[in-house]
Amino acid sequence: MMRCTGTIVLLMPALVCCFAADLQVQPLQLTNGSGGGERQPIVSADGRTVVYGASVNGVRELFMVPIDGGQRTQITTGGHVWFGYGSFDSWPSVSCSADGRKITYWNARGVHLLDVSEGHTRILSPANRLPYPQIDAGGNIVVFQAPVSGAMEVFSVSPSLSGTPRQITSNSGEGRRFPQVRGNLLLFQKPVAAQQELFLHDLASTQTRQLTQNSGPGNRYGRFSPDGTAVAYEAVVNAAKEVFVIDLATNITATLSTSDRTGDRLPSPSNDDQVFFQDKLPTLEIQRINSDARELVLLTNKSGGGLRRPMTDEHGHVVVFQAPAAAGVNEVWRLRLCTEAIWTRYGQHGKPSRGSLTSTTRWWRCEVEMGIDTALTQRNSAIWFLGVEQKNTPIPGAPGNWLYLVPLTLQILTLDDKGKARISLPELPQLKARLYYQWAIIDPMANSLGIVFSEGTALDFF
Amino acid sequence: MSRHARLVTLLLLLCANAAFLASSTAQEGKPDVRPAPVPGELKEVVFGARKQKHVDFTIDDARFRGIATHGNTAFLIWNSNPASPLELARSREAVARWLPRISKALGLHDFGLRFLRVADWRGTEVWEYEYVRKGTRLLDCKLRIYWKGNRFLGLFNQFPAPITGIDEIPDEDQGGAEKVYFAERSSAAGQEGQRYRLVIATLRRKDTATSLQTEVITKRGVAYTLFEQKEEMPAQAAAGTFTEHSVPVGTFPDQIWADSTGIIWFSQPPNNYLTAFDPSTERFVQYTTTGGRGPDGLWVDDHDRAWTGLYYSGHLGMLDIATKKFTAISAPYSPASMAIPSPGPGQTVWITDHANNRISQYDPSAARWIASHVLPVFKMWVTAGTLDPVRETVYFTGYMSNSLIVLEPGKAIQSIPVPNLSGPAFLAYHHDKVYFSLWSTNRLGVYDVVKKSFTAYAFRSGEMGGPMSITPNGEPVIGTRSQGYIVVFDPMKKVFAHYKIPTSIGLKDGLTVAPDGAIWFTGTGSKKIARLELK
Repeated sequence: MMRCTGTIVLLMPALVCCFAADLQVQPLQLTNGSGGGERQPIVSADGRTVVYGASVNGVRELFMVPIDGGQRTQITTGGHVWFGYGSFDSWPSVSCSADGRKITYWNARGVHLLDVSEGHTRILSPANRLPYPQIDAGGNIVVFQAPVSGAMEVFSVSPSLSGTPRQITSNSGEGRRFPQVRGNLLLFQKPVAAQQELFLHDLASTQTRQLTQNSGPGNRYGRFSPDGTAVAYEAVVNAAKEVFVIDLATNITATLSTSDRTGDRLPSPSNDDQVFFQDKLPTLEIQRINSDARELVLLTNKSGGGLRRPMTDEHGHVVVFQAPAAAGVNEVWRLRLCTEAIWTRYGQHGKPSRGSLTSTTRWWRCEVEMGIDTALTQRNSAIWFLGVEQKNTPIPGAPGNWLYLVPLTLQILTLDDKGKARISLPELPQLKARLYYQWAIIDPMANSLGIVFSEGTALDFF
Repeated sequence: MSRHARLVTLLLLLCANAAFLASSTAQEGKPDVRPAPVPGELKEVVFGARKQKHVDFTIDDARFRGIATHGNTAFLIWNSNPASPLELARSREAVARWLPRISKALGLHDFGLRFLRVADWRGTEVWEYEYVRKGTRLLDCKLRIYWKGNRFLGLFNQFPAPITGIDEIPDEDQGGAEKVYFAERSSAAGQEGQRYRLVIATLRRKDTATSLQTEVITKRGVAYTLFEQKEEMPAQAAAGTFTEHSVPVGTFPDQIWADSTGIIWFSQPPNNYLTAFDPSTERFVQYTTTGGRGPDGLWVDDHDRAWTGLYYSGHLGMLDIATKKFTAISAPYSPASMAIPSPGPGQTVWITDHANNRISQYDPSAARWIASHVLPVFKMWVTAGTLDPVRETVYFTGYMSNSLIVLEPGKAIQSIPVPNLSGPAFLAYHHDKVYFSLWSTNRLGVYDVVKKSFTAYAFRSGEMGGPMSITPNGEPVIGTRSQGYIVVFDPMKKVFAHYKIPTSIGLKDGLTVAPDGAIWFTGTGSKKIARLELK
């Protein structure tokens, strides 16, 4: 995962005011009147859709609600969705694909796959004894657990095929497997010396490797980051459950929490080296910490009793969780840690002396990282313009180059040895605005002015 | 007046006179002939002692009330007339002379009694004896005599009954490994499986880092394995924090559970209340069990429905916590004394009926009873249940039958003898194991459902097992019932941590682990509820 190479330090006063408008993060109650029991909310990796369970005339059904609130949609009817097996269970019973369109759940009839787009449900397996199905981000494979000779084993099934589920593990021993899948990578737990340890299995190569050891009693509740590059889990240290994260590329494990308390932490990792988890203070509250164990942030306060079950999206922009509402019933809540944005390119790149220009925009946590990629290797200077007004102005002496905005501020950087420059907008919790930005590269060989401009990009924060 | 009318008048006068005479008798303080109830000091010695059937015993010309074993011998006895208790001097010698005289009535065959120790049961002095035959002791069984000052209060007799035979110690086996008598049962179904044979067992001992391990071996193999922690390891005070709350309304906080929002629920049978406690506001709210009486056991399911057995009215009760609507569901048989609910396969509810020797299964989604079984052994005193969700097998404890009652899908009800006659009481399932507390001893029992084997782990000496639950980490937690401890078992290290309960003692049936990992329990005797945070 690449970090940003620069951060804006010079902005016009109006923008500074806008960015600093309200840094207080207040949870938004997304549901009400949901009935008894847990909601077990989940959020799609794209951060748009929340799925949860609620009671309708005593029957648990699944609902969807947009991440920023709005119309709730009941997506099962007569679903009789099961959460656990008569008692509380910390592992989520519902999962969804990254776009929130495919959802798995289970009930007495077995493992269900609900395709929200097509509006139909299929039973993938009759397994109904704690199967805890989980779907991968692409919605192409579902894994679940089912008993074989008294031991829970992992099965996989591809929703796109009509084949029977394939048994992946065997003779796994006591306890639960709690499988998760990302692409070809399967994560599950099984006992080693009477302790549940995490294993990573490659469905393509069928190779399996043990990820953890000496993890202590209880479940690991291992969970992939949405992009499958890291696994967060909990293990026992001095009789307390602590949060760990493994970078699957380096195999390096970091201890993230020092909670020194019992109870499940239920960590949820983002793609951007952050992990969200619940800790007891004195009720279970949500905390966020970076994967280098720095910058621990308390995100909720006095949430009430019961489990929070925090879950975040791919960049850690939002966290959904359950907590009692005024009526004393669990409802679904959302914390928004930064605003969302979409970006649109407009105009055209000028022609550099070598190769071409490519604009990049991506999220890193709550920062928008804006970049320019070139084929230039002379560590040329790069200028980044930012404005709030679009205006197309041709550049004299640089045919085919345009300034696409009215600049309010600029930043001068140097291309790295790969011909790239990056700059980031800092965390913008409540920004709602349209901004425009553009790059210019000092390239004496490109034209008589010696400068080449990129296309423009409109950034809509909402 | 006709002859007939005169006769009626005479009868009315006689009745009125009789009523007056009866009234006069009571007023004049003559002996009350009502049977003596179990003394308060002894009511928790036997599980459900007040609710079990009480019978008369005449032993050595003295009259007692008591509870009988399956062999109709005395299990627990107390003075039939508290005003004129047994004249037995509180001296070791006097008791030593008395015990042989009552040996036959107690069903001890030719076993004698050997004094072990003076113990304490909630402030009552207890003399504890073991059963011995030809120098060989009977394993895991005790006779206890309870004293109130210098007065005989009662006797608890754990000698197995009925007995089908007693093995002799073979001459060639003299010396070497320790030999004991062991109460073994056949694997026969029904009442036949309730008969004991006292066989010779060898004790094979092994030292481990933390425990003394003893295998009890009979001709059938290893009957069970006992782990005794080498030293008492009381938990550091800083490692556990108790918070205690007096119950403000009503009495007898009984079973306890947490709902998904962290509200703590407990039953109060004498007051017909299900009571909610909010830990954040420390506020109690009582909800009446309208339509039913005597809410006994309590379990909150994953829909936040608080299920309870309505012991006195014979209903299954359900409080919908979200709406606070209470429903009393009539039992599928009569008479009924529904007691402790537990989860069943397919989101169903099982409920025990101690007194009527029954278990019944209710399907909330169909709003109907789907099963009700009379248990195969008479008077098992089926106590509580737990579910193995992987196999959809339900386990119940049979307190009086000293067994685990097992319902496997598609099979007849089985009764698995527990190799300890101390009364399995509460239980919890975790990872292929059924953990259970034993009412009359300081042991945690474990039944491995795969290996079909029993293990026992001894906790703090002098304590008795009580309510239990299991932490999210799979650590069984037991509330003990004498001095009052919460003991937490580490299944990996096979050791207990002990946490002394400050004041909310008098535990009976109620202990649970909330979703956040906090341990909650009811001090039934002290009218409190309490929380233990382990960190």
